[in-house]
Amino acid sequence: MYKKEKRGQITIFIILAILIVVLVILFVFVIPKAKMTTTFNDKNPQAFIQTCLEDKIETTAETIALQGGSLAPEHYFTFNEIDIGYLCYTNENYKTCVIQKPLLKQNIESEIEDEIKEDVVNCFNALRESYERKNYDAQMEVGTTTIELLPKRIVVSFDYALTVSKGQTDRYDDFSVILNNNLYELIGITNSIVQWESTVGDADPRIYMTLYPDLRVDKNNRDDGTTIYVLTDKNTENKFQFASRSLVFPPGY
Amino acid sequence: MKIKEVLLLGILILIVVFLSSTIISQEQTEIYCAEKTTYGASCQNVPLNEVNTNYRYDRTSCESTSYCSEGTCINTLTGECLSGPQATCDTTQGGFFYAKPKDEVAQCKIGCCLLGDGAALVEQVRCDTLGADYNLNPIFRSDIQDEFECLAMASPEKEGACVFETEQGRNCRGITRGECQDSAGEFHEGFLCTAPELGTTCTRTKKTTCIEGKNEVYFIDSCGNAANIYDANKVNDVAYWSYLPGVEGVEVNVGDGEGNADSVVNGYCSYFQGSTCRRYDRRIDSNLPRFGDYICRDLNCKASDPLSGGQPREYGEEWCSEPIDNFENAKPGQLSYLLYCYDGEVQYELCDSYRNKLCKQNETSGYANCVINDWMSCIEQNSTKDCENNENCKVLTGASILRTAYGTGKLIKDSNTNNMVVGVCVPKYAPGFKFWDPEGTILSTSEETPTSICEFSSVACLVPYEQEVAFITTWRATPTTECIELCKTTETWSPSECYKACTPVCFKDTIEDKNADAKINQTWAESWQNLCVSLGDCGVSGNYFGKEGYNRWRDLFLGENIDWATLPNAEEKK
Repeated sequence: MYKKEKRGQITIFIILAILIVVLVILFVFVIPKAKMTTTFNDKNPQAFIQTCLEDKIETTAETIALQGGSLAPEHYFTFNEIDIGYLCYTNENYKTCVIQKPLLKQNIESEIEDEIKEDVVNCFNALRESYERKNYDAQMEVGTTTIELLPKRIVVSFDYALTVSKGQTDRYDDFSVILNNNLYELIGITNSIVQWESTVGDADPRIYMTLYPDLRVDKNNRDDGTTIYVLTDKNTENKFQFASRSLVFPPGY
Repeated sequence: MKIKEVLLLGILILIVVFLSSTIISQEQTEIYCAEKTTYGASCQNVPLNEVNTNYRYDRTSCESTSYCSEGTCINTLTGECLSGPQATCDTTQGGFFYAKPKDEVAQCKIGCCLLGDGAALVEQVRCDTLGADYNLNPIFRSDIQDEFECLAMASPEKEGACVFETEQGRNCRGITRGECQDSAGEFHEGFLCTAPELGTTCTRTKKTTCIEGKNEVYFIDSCGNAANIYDANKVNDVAYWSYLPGVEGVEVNVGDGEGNADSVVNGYCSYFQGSTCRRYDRRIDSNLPRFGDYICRDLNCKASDPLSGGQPREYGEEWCSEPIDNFENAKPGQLSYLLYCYDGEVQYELCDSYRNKLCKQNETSGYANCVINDWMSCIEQNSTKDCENNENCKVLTGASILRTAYGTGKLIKDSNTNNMVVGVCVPKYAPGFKFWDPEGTILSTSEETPTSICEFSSVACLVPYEQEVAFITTWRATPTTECIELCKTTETWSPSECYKACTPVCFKDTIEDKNADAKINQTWAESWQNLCVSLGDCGVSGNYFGKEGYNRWRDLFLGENIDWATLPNAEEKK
């Protein structure tokens, strides 16, 4: 009798354990997806667009920032298994570098725009379909996408208009995604470092860390004369890294 | 009549070669300016096979082209001016190129940009753009060119309590007068929202916070407004919670005056003294603040940091991985690092992979920096004074790199005696080579020999021994007639001076008999060994980790009829 009771208890424990595991799996894998699909609110299409695109914009911006301002850098140095684009480069020794991207901010904005183009179309189509599933008559006017890197944020504006009607007609034409991101500030500091690299062949991280207490600047000198600068915002852990090769003294001169 | 019997006793060839080096043969290749290279770089001087021919290119240097010569690129959208070539200044993206240096372009002239309560020395267009980006009205003062003068112009706007009537009562926000006017609030300059006379819904709390852009720890009220700097003794002080510092006798307690790092009662942190506001973390902070979750974090570096050298380091302290003097006899792999303590962490920077830059610490100021090791200029020095005036060089006597027209080592002027002596000015801190790379790593100095830096310390020493009276006098090293004759035509010396200059010194002056082995002049051999190792990672040396090298000195001194037991350090490998 006692043995049977004990066996029963073990069975209950096993069932409980299985239930817990199932709940954890549901929580980790299923619920986030469910969240993605339940954000549609027919009175707030803007929220749908924000949810649909913010992850893509964030990961794109992060990748670009880690690769020296390009998604697929053409000319790069591989450091910690990441291809980091050169923002200032000379192939010669004893010479200061040539700035490769003087219009870095615009370059990054257009890189983000190109990368999210397809997702933007997909998200707006998904939005229209969401209305149609709720028996709305939905008309979409496709427009352009504008990326703006601004202080502490990235603003993506869509010149799209959506007209939905079900009894009454509503027109939505103010779509945008705003992300907290300090790429703007990191680009400003990057330009300053690049300017130093191109004029005197070097930049001192200590100056920047003294001026900006929340900034960490790491400088990694490689044996071919390349310097990898890694800028980190200590509050957000956002990084921007780039390569430079300037005023190189070769081995044995 | 003199009986001359020139006996070639020994041909001593000192070949000191860098152990694993091969020599680059520098081919004369035609250089082109490529607007774009095959590997994607812009405006580089490269051989034709590296030119991306879909873009512009010319058989000239980039300085001579219109598209790659240096000018100024103005980013018309951000207002920034950066030096660079026209090719990278894309007009479709808002670039505008001037074929002039930055300081000659009117739009790039800097001035003081007054923006809100801040100021910065920037270009005029940049000032306008910053105003647009931050949604503020900028004022540009082109007459102010000095950064400190500009920063002093920054005038913080008056702050105070901005009260709003709401259904829930009198709400309040601690903001500037301008912001309050924009929000249609009732502004009370110098007041805090918790001032009883304002009658707001905001009350005192025991909570604290950090504010972006500021270093101190601040109290916050129940509405989330920052109040005055955290002072545990004033947590219930009505005046301290009513007015900003300087109003109605309210003052900030500066605490220990040294940044109050880890203070449980005072939030007057100072970044320049090594502390700043951070959320309390028991793994990092040694004290729990009496109120709130924020503390003045100690930014000094602890002795336990593996890079601190086992001693505590102050915030901003900088030092070298090892003293520059250690590099006088640098070994392969020995590198110099600059280290500094920032924000509680030691960061480091390699000065140069080949010791072309070394870390140097100023003993009086304490500053450390990577400085250029200008070792190449040493060899050009003609006098001991000139040599010693260059802190990167030292005089080495008994050996010489350059040769005279008559084949002897070139002399250097001893500035103390004005005599010419056998010697050379050599690098004090030997440069490093890419010793790990079997492909040619040591640059050719020219198309002529020597083709490697190490070969500067290679010498062939041919010693004729002569017996003035057959079977009677000893065999003595003598100069060759050609050397003496060439010396007399080259120098303004007497025959005896030329005789002396041409007499080889690599072996002992005499040998016992015709068939005896010559004994190496120890001073001479040691001088050449020293010369060899001072030129870089040349000769015999163990690496930085103490692993011995591949060769012994005995392997690098070659010749015949030589008593090798007389070679100093013959078996040494380190």
